[in-house]
Amino acid sequence: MKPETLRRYKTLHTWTGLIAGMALFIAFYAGAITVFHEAVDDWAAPAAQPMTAAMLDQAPALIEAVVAQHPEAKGMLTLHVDETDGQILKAEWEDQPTDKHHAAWLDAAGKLQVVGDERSNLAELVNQLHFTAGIPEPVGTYALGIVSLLYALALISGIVIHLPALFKDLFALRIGDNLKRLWQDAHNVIGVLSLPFHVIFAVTGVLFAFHDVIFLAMNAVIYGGKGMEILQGIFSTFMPLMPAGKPAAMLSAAELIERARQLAPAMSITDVTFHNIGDEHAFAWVFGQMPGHLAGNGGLILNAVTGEVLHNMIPGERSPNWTVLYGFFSAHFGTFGGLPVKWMYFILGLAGAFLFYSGNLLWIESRRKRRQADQARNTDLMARATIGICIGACFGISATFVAAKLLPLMTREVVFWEQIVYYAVFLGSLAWAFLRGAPKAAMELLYATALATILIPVSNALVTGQHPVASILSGRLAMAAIDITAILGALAFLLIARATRRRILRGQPNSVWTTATVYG
Amino acid sequence: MTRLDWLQRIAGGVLLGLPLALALSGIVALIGPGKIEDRYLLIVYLVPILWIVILAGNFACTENRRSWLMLVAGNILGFAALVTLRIALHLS
Repeated sequence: MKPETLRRYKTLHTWTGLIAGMALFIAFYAGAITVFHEAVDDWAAPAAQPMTAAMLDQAPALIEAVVAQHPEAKGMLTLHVDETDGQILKAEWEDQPTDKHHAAWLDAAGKLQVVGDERSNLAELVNQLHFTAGIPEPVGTYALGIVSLLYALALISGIVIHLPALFKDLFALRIGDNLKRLWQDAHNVIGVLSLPFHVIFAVTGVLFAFHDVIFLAMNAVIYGGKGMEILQGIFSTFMPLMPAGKPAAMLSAAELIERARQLAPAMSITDVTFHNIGDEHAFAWVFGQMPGHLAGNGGLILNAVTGEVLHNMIPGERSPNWTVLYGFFSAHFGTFGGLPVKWMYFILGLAGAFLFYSGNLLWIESRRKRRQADQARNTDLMARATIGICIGACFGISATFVAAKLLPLMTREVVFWEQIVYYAVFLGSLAWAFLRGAPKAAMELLYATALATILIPVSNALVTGQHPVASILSGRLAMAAIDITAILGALAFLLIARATRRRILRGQPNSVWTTATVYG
Repeated sequence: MTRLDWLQRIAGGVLLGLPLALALSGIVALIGPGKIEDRYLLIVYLVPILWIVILAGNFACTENRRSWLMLVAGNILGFAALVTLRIALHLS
């Protein structure tokens, strides 16, 4: 390769990385947590007296009670019957047109318990940060689509520039006095090893934002106007019947699950979603996980009145289109190999966040003026922005976890105040970084994040009495895992804060990371 | 490269790269095995993948003129092939 071409790809890598890096940091950090969406949701607002999956025979009574009080749930109501994770049985639906999320179960006396806005929406807020980086909708989704395009370019250019020395230097982790070399090595090895996953994330990220444009373009250019028809044909799979307007008796959830078991004995069913409840055209998605398949999630779409199979979406039996879609989805969300793969995706997400953070630090470091205290304005501003946005998002998310535990004690508008807490902490951190300067802000925000993160298990223990040991003893392993992960996370933030402090006090003097610079 | 050079490469990759990616995906859509509608979602993924590759590859060109020339030529060839296929398959 010509040196000139190499230089061009270096510039491309630097700038795409710098522009997209900070939004990607938030998306990856939040995405790592979103891998455990269900567990976080249950951690944030555990049901006081949950029904268990063993109480499936009560499901018809639950559905009847929900529909009587909330007729809007007739259109679509999901029954979680998770056999593996948490054993909790609950009904969930969204209000139309407000999209407000509700969950319900029957208490010991058979009375309906409904929770709405007073229930924490923590898991959904983190999920929202994953695909908008916190930028308000509808701009957020599109902004992240463009970020995904830049991310894809950064990936390709990164590989091009490291190709010449790729195999020689890949596993070289040169620990020594040259701190920049160490960071560069860590950046390279993480980037190359997680590349296949990053390619999947980038492509699905672009599609997530721009699928409508691509559908329309394909319709016109490739399919001569018949593309939308094909698309509707594919997606009508999920909505095979319209309400008939005539009432009919439905099969119970237990009967529908039994029917699905006959057809897919190996599948472990996680949820049954009813549509057109009580109508002659009622149907149900009976979905779950099939072990031993790369894209193991899928299921059956059954007529809820007759039990007839309307569509087969079982892994290995569904149509090529669904194989492609489920393949990409499970590769993006890490839903193909149970808990070990989920933890791998959690670590991949954090490693990705490190990739973007270290990329910015490397850019700043390579522009450091070693012989003068006075550093360039733009590197100093980049340092402040990187600290404010990246550490600010970590701080904001930890603070929102704590808020999810404390807010229900103070207000019924939990969902609203959770958002306020996140944005106040995030924007406050950003302002702090610009006011205090990078070195001081980095240290202070890292200590604050460590504190907020250790408060996650503390607040849970204080409010619900569920400290990790109690959680383990009562079989709530997912809850214990979140608390223990938070303890480890707090420790990690503390160590990073101390390292930052050391650099301020004893690091090489001429840098944006020392308080002696004119902008400090 | 100057700032104007960079702008040209980005504009070329975005504006001509997407139609080229569509044309190439369209050829796969029309001549692949099985029924045309069974490949639809594969093509949905193929379009952004090819677009990204073209966007990135466009920066390998040493001269702006060559970059534009290749994109335009690629589009002409790609669409010629696609239209021929569509006529041959009685799709338009």
